[in-house]
Amino acid sequence: MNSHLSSVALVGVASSFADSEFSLLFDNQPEHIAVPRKLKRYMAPAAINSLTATSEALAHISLAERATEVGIYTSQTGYGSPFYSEFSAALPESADSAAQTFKALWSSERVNPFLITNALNNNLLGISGLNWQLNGDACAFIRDQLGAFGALQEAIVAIDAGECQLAIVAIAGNSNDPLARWLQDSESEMAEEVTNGATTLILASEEWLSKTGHKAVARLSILASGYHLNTEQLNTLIAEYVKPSHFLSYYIESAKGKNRILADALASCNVANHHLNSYSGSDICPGVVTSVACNLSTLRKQNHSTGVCVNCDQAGFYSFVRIENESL
Amino acid sequence: MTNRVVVTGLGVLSPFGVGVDSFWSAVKAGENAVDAWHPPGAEGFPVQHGATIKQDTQALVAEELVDFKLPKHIERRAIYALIAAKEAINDARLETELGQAGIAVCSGVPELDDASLLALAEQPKANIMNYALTEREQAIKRFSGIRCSNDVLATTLAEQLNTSGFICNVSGACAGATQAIGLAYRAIKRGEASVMLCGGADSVLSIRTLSALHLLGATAETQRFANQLCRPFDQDRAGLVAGEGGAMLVLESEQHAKARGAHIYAEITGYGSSLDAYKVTAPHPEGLGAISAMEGALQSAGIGAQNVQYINAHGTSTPLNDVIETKAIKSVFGKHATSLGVSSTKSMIGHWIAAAGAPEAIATVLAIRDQFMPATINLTQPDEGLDLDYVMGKGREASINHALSNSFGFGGINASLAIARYYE
Repeated sequence: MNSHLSSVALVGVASSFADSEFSLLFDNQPEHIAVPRKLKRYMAPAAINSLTATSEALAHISLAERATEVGIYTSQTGYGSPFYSEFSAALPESADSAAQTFKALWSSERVNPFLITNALNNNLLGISGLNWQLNGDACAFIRDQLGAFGALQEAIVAIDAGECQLAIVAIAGNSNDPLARWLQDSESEMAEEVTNGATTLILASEEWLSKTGHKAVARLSILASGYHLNTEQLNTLIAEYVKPSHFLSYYIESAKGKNRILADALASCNVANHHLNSYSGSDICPGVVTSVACNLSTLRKQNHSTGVCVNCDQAGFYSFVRIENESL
Repeated sequence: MTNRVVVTGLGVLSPFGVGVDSFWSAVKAGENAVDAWHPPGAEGFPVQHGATIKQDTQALVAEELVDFKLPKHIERRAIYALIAAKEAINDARLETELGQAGIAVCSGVPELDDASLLALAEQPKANIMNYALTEREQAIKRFSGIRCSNDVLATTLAEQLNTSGFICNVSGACAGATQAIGLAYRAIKRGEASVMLCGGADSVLSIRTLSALHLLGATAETQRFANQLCRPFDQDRAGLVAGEGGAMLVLESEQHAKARGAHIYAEITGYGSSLDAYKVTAPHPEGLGAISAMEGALQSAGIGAQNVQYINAHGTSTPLNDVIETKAIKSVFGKHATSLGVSSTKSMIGHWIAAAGAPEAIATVLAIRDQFMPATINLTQPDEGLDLDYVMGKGREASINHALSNSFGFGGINASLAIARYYE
């Protein structure tokens, strides 16, 4: 069980989700920004939501000074690419052999040559770097909840260690991808379209705050994270970090075994909360970054001072993060 | 808190076989692991060479991982990672410390077995999706590799080794393993971890991934040079030649390593990463991102460019990379660039894509230990303007106190590690 005590200033936050019950938890939903056509060619589908969220989160922040002082840390949920439709145009109507099918593919000009870059988990990192002309410290993390946590953790420690002054933490994902849904549950209805979503947090060093005069909207601390939580450790963490005065946001994947125990323990805490899994659309890019954005939105609406986010993925990777609302 | 970070364990599964010894003795001797490669059932496949692991995967599991309880379906790259990790852990003589160790690894594109893809491709176009979606069991096997579990390395290692420390799984395309080692270095340096297992494993020798790289024009496909196809910096280089394998390092804080009497191979002294912000599939023409990564590594190591004697280059044998990496080295090192040894071990083991930086970091560590610069093989005539000392053809003894290991990837991500001889 890892414990962390770093606290870092949050200076920007935004989300861009397809309309859903979940999207109503956020302050607002910005309009998608315009993206150059050339850039679109390189982009996985959820990247547009991420560029929109990042643009919104940076609305009052200038990146003009030194792009090398800006770190960017990203993670993706789901793939969104490649879709069958991306190959479909190039495939022959019938084929005598696999080789014939592949030959058609290999020699086709109708397949996007950037298919592999769209399928990579660092697509969002590259696209964001291009869009904002960022040259500084950078890393893409794999994936889903573990990736989101990795991105947030690295951003916090990079700020703490002076490796960057400003850190963009960008998370994007999708759900309703027909194949992914079907693999989870063959009885499920095929969704007609993929839905995308994204959240971006902007973290800043104290030096950057004093240099620019910006105020933190919140402060984040990673309280604990790791694998293999046993019941005793779980109860200790909850007792230590989830207080009645807090607002709790939690997203626990898989209602089985230890995850079920964790979800039940959190549900029975005497604390106002959002059980994020219960909102439709929350599976688009679950993880600590989205939970933080959700939690802060509620803290602001309800004039709460402190929130705590608890996340746990299917493999049992958990995290506890505290949010201090600085806008009161 | 700032800790010195030392290397105490190494493990490799390479096309030269299982173990660091087989890897390093072949690399020192300038042997070539690239050979003819033809995926069964895909006649006419444009990519026809690769550096493959010769041993059958199941045989490797039976021989090397008999003590592990592996899940029924486990990707080849996860097996490679476990074999390399096991050797690195044994080499470092980690015992009770293993439970607290952190893990930092990288992943590329998930595996999809060629037989399944070929079966799918034999369906008439109208049936393909239907075929995939109506045969659930087969489809899960076929597609779980595309859609799921790309954090397979981190989770497999954490579960199989029962570790509970700092964990991350990086996606940095061809810079992934160098980034993973860099993040492990930072975690120890900053005091978040005392011991880290880091590196990567990958296998892109599959129809699907190589088809995608072919579509991008990244692969070498000429028959002119047979198995001497991987020719970094050569005027006739024609693209990357894919390889496969796993390589892991154990990093520790100096204090932790000394307290338990561990053998120290070398010290990781710095790490730099950057973005090109130029194009997704091509490096910045002046190598600005590569320059920034190398300068970042030197800066965090607290050394000047003149202190470095050797660079294990990214050296992919692609027309663009080798020119731009050379430009970037000249920019960072100035006149000192011509005094450096710069070699590409990919010329021998091929390009392990996401994992490439891990065997290269190990080669750099061992180059420092043995005071020996490995060669760039198959390089007979450097291209115009490529005028550094690429250690052509044959490795040589050299005094190496400080070295860099470079990796650059799709998406414009760059990473460089500074590695040094260890002095108390």
